[in-house]
Amino acid sequence: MSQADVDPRRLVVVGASLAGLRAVEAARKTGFTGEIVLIGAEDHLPYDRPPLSKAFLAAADDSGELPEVPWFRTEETMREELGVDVRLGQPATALDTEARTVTVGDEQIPYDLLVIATGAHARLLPGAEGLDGVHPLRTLDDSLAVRDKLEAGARTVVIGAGFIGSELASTARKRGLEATIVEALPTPLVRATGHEMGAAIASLHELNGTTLRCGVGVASIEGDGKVERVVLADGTTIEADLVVVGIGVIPSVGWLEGSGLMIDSTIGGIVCDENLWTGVPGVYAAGDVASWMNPTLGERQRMENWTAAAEQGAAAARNALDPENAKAYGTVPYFWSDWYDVRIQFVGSPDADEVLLVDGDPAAGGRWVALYRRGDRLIGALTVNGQTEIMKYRVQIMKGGSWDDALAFAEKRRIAHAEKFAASV
Amino acid sequence: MSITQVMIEGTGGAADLRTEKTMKCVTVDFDKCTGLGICESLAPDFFEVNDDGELIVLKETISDGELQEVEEAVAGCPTEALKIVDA
Repeated sequence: MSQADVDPRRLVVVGASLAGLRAVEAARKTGFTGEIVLIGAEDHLPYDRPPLSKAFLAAADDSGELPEVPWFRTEETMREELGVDVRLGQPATALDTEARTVTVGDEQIPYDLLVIATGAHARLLPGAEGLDGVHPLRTLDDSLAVRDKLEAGARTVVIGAGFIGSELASTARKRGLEATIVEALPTPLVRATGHEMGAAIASLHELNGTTLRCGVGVASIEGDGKVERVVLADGTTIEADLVVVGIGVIPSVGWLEGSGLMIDSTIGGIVCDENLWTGVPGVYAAGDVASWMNPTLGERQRMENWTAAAEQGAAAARNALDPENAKAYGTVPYFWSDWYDVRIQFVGSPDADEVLLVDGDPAAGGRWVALYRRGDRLIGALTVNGQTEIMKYRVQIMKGGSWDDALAFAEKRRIAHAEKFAASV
Repeated sequence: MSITQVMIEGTGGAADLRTEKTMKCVTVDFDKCTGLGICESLAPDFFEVNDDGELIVLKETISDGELQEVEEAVAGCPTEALKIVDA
């Protein structure tokens, strides 16, 4: 390629996780020949996060090997195939949208186009600093530390009955370790799945031998150098060698103070339009850090899931490179979580007028399906072990399908499944 | 079926323009796939997860008009189990 063919613009991507990586890959896929700089706060090349609370924490296999680190790409692929200047180990600390620079350490890195994908960081429990054995579970380093403790047979207490904590408790149980989950709210998972279903999903813990204590706060985490026990607000003491704090994440926007970017005061994150544009020339956002108007559901959202990070990263880069032909990013949100031998899947929005169980019975375990109605429209679906059902509802929600059609479809599926089950017994 | 124009460098440096027919297919690495099903929602004519949570490939050959949805399914797979290859 001659010098004249090289795009003179420089794309800077802040955040070297899934959304950042997908931004880089999408830019190259569109044929962008300019310089790309990828900035990552951690020392690590991009890696996949979902396994960090699941498969990566599993016990060694028969040959004694622990699961491998889920790297996305090798350093060689990043540098040679994707042609990226990867800067790891230091976070961006400031953005100057006038001078068009990002500050990393002592350096001002100039950009023409910027994709912000700084994600979110784990919320910490005040007062638990400095005790060995108390960990959040967000990064590879967190997961490695937690795995060491599990390997040593730690009695595990999880604070927060969200998805990450529940997956961790499930992994501990699979290893045959004692696990207790403490949740301050009376019902877990309300924000993600609504009231009724939050309680129903949480019942999986008791079914699988994990103690779940809801509606009680943590008074203190105690120990001499290393954690020894968790004391609850009602005076209960739980002996522990490992305490995993899974009480949610905070969008990583602190470094943007003074940049002029607008931060969403309700759901957090950088305010973007449908195209993931921040309103500042050349600056886009993607992943956990982006609050954007989702045209598919007609609501402003901020996602904390794999699918949104991957798709938004790519969409933000494409729109940044070609703003005149920018395409709105619309999606029916999707997340999954694996607990014990159960797969929980959710599509759409839990912000519903009605939630209806259309197949199965949570109390009986096994498979169940719940649908979420907003007005006369199907807006969400939750399945537990309903892998063959869930995506059919995602398609219906994408197409703006009606509640009545969804109910009729669900009934047909329920009957077909029951007949199949009867025939197989 | 898609028709790709392939430029082949001749020995004298002259370019030889040839028309070649390539058929694109989708393949699944079942060692990686865990049946999450995102592909089914993006390209339902190609993929379906069955009652046992296993992915079934309904058809492999991709027509021009279907390429984009299958590309989205490939990009959307959290386990990087899908690939589009020339048949």
